[in-house]
Amino acid sequence: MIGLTASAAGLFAQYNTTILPVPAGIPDDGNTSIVPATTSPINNKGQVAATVNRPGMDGVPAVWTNGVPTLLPVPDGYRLYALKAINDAGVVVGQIQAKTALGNASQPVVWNGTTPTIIPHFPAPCASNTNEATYISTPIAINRAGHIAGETHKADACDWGWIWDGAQFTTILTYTATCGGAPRITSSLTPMGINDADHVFAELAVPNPITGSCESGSFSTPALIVPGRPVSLLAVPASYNLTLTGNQINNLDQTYGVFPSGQFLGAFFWNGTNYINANVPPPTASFVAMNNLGQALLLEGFGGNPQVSTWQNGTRTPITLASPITRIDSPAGLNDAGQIAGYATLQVNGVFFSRTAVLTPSGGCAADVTSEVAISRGGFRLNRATGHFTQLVTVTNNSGASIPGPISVVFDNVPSNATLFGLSGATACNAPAGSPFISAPSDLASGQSVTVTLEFIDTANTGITYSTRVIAGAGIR
Amino acid sequence: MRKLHLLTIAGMVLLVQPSWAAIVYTVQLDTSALVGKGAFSLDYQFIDGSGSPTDLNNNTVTAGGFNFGAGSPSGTAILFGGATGDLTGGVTLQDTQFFNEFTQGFNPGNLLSFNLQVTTNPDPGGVPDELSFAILDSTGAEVATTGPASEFFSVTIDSANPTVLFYGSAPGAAFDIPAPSVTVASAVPEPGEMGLTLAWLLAMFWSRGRHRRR
Repeated sequence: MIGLTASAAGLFAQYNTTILPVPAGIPDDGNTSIVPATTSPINNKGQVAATVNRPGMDGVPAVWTNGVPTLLPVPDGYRLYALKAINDAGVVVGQIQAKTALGNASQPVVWNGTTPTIIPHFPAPCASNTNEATYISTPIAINRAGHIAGETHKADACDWGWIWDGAQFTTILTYTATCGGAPRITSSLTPMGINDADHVFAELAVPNPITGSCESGSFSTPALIVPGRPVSLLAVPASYNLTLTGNQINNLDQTYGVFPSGQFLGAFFWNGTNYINANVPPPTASFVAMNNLGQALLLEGFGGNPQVSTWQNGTRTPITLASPITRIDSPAGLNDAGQIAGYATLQVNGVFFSRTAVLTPSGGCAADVTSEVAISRGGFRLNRATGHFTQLVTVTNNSGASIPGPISVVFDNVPSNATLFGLSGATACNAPAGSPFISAPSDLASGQSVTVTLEFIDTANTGITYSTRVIAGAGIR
Repeated sequence: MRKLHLLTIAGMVLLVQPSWAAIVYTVQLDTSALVGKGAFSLDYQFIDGSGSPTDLNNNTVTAGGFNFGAGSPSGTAILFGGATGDLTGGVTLQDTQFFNEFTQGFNPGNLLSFNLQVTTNPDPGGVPDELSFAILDSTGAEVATTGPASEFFSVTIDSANPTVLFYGSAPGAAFDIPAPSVTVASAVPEPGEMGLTLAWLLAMFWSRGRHRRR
């Protein structure tokens, strides 16, 4: 028996391209655009959330499943303000505005299937503004369990960050900065994303480290917020900030942002411990999406035709766009299967169209060898240090021949309360799509066993069930 | 005829080992490395195989007879799910839900020992119930061991004779604690298998007697 050390799937070089079609009943011409959701537009199953826009028409939210759109109804009396994200269960979060609203007043909405539910404003009192019609509640992102991070602005100094668990507000995101060694200001806090462990990256207003000013909001810095633990400021230079694109945290507690680079902006990646300069030549670069493998999507050079690349550990792999796509911009998403959803410009017969394109890694599928192996599972234990449930799973080659590596153990039908941590990727070629897998590079000889130590995030401490497949050899999983 | 008789008994010994309704283990752990090093807690987790209704409420673990050496229990127990009791009167964990946990502080002495009775009903869902034991430090994290989740031992109820694994401190860990001694003190047979168990025990006794005479 050998132990199995997971190996992450590499970056892909070739893609098949799908242009999401305009839903029936809406003219399919150059005046119609399809804009991906701003934070996480594509889930691991390849479902895409996007907004159909057209002059004179309120934005129409929709979800495309295998390229087929399903419209999401906006509650009566409201219009769509922003579409944010879709999770693996196909739950979509957005922001709506009453048609009689004042200014930017708006609040979150969640679609479970095609049923919308409006999330109330965070209930904390605000003496300086009691007019609820002016409140702005902004959802940022939704995790696999359906927990939503967001913020509510009622007035200056009346801002709260929060987590909504689907039924109630469970966590108030707060931070008290120190100035001169003593607590001095309660900072405003802008959540930028939430991962499956309910960890949040946020921009905090803190005392200016250069001038020493203690005015609230005079300076901001990125920080990691883990429920039940002190806020942890990222060890980045004072001028580094998170960006406003994409879900800003993955399950490895990684994030990305920008820093001044001459008169332009540079991109940095936070790998959970340190920041890495993406080291892209000027004029400018920006990460716009990230997955749970630590892979990110990078745009280099705005204006003209920005180069799109995937990026991992400092290595970037340029993507060649297929005709009729001329460019891809933000918003964009990158799922664990390596699929990309981006805001694309198309040129067809001299006419430009703005659509959402989905790029799926292409190539032959790896072989399903499930019938050649036996799989046995151990019990679970919650590791208090990591917060993850661990489980040992052993795969034995019962065939009379060696099975060529990489050996990938696939976990199907994992419930929404649980997430496989430290995955190597998710299936895109062998159905069902979007199932996480863990891979080892070596072959598995006849009669040989490998044991995998699984880690699951399960903040609800509820049951973890799944079925297994084993996929082996070269090819897309 | 005598040869057939011997073969029959050998078969009983080797092939028809009885199932145990419950097994009692004696656990002993050298905790001298923790003496005077701050506050610690004992942590028992009893996690159901799946949390599905068909898998729940089929196993129970009881821990008692605690001996802390020169140490003692402290504080009050923190209970989750199907956990009840404390380190003075005894602890019971039942798989009433997926996650069941008992935690209580203790002041370490040179050793820690206790008895553990575990019922042995494998879950029909295919993923076994598992009891695991760890020591938590003052931050609530496990004292590091070589176990997959830093446990000192686990009892996996994968059959009527559960799999027991035990681990010592991880290399370079803050505390050097050897793997515990986990021994079977007694076994309670299934109610319907008393006759078979008696035959098995007689066969074992007869076999050992013949072996000694040779």
